[in-house]
Amino acid sequence: MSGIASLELRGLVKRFGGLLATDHVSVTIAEGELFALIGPNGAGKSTLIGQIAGELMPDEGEILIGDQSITGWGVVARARSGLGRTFQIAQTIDAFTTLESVVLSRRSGSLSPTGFFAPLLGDKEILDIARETLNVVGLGELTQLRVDRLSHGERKQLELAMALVRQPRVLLLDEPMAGMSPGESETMAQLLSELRGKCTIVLIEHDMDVVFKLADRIGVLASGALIAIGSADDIRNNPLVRASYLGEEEIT
Amino acid sequence: MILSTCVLVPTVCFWFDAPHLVTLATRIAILSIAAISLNLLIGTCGLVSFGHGMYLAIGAYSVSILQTTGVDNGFAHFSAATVVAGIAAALIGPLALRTSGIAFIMVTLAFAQMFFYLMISLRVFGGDDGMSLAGHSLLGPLDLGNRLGLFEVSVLLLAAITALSQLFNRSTAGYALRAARQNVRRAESLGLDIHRLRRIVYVVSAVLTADAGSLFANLNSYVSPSYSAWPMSGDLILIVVLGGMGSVFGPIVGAIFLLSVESFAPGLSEHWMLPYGIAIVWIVMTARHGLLGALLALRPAGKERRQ
Ligand SMILES: Nc1ncnc2c1ncn2[C@@H]1O[C@H](COP(=O)(O)OP(=O)(O)OP(=O)(O)O)[C@@H](O)[C@H]1O
Ligand SMILES: [Mg+2]
Repeated sequence: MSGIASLELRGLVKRFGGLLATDHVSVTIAEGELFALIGPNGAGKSTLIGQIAGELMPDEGEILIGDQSITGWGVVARARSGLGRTFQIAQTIDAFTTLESVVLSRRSGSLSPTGFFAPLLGDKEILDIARETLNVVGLGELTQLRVDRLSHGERKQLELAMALVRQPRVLLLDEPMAGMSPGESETMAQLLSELRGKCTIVLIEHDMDVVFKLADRIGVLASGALIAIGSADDIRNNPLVRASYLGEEEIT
Repeated sequence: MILSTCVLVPTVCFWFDAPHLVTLATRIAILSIAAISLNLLIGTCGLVSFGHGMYLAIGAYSVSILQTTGVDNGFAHFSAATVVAGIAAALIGPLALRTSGIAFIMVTLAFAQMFFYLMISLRVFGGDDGMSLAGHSLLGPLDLGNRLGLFEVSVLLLAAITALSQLFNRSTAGYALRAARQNVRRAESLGLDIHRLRRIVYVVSAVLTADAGSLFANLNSYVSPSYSAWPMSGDLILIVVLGGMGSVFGPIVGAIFLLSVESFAPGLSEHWMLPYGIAIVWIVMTARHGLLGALLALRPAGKERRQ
């Protein structure tokens, strides 16, 4: 399942009652591209990620990974086809240790009959991969710690480790640095820059410095619609974007 | 585990020269098997089945009905129990598993009550009078009508199921189901096919409970629709919750406690129900991990991992 794949959205529409949360969004994100999605609160960023991950079903439009349409697929099938994600509010399993969480994630794809009796932590090779991944995200010292003892930032790191250990073809990151300490944010930014080119990434992030530095392209979402797509320079100088989003940032 | 059982069985049998104690110990072993099976759903999946009495009844009727047709081969009895319970669970599971929480409790209860009324209405199988066994299951040379033989078979099966469910809990599937119990969103976004896993566990749990039911019929020499009624299903839940649903051994502790009290307390006082009820409420409210959890907490501390 490893490898990289492009991600294509074709005319996605999602309505919540009368609210148009996704307004005819079309974009093709190339293999290995880091695509940042920015936009004010409530613009529909998480809603878009939710549709790509399969948690929300679009009312119209199509989603493709590589050449394959995954529009009708559920969350599990999409995850198995190589889609990894983190959540805006970290979703973790509190009673597990960080190592158990990452090993489970690694083994989740291959639940054969032996998966019912072979111990989760019985495969040395997978343990090593899991430890290495925890190390990469900055949790190398905390492999035996229960997840409910982790700080907010550490949980986000763990979520990333759980996604990375499965070698996703497409990775969806919903505000991975929100609520992190400055040190943790820096580690995360460093990590994201190392991930560039290794998998296709959709990154939602409010920290403009990080976005401008890391993203190959940036898409600006306002009221559900993609109002601009372009390089960091394009976006910085786009008057529409300045009015709807960056302007706000400068004021606050 | 297996070894200690082999050592334990003869000793216990020797001490249990009193036949009613052997019967009590056998009942504890059999209901422990059913409760451990039920705990695969309650503890591991977070799904409270209020209808497992039905599978106990299916296993029990498999013995009694085959006996009336002259089949006394125990392997046939257990196979019938396994197949019928497996098919019933494979049909009911996907339906019941569309729900969770209270709805799951209600759906499983509804199916068990339906089976209860079905057996009451079937006069050929004794209706609400139930059926007395024409004979007991014969496992090769071993007659399950023999009290010690039945006890040993029950304890061996209990040991095997305990060991298997221990393995299962530490397996990838066990972790996956516990992950989903805590956070379905997370589990599914890891690509864990939780619904498929739950359907499998539901069938396995039902089949093992039915096998316990076949042993139960041999113990009581009698089968009745009441096995499928809610008080039986409720007792199984109580055993799991009292003993502790967090561990494989909890249900065994729960069964020992519940069945011993029910067996001895009436001899001590006619008003045993009141303190008994209070004790149950007290245990459930104070011991978060059941009796086993409370017992383990009595051990000198020091196992806790701090960083
Ligand atoms: N399940 C839902 N039902 C109804 N409305 C919803 C639902 N989810 C989101 N919305 C609405 O859709 C809009 C987009 O929400 P979304 O969470 O996608 O925004 P966002 O861009 O991720 O914002 P933030 O930066 O605050 O995370 C908001 O107005 C929100 O209130
Ligand atoms: Mg959001």
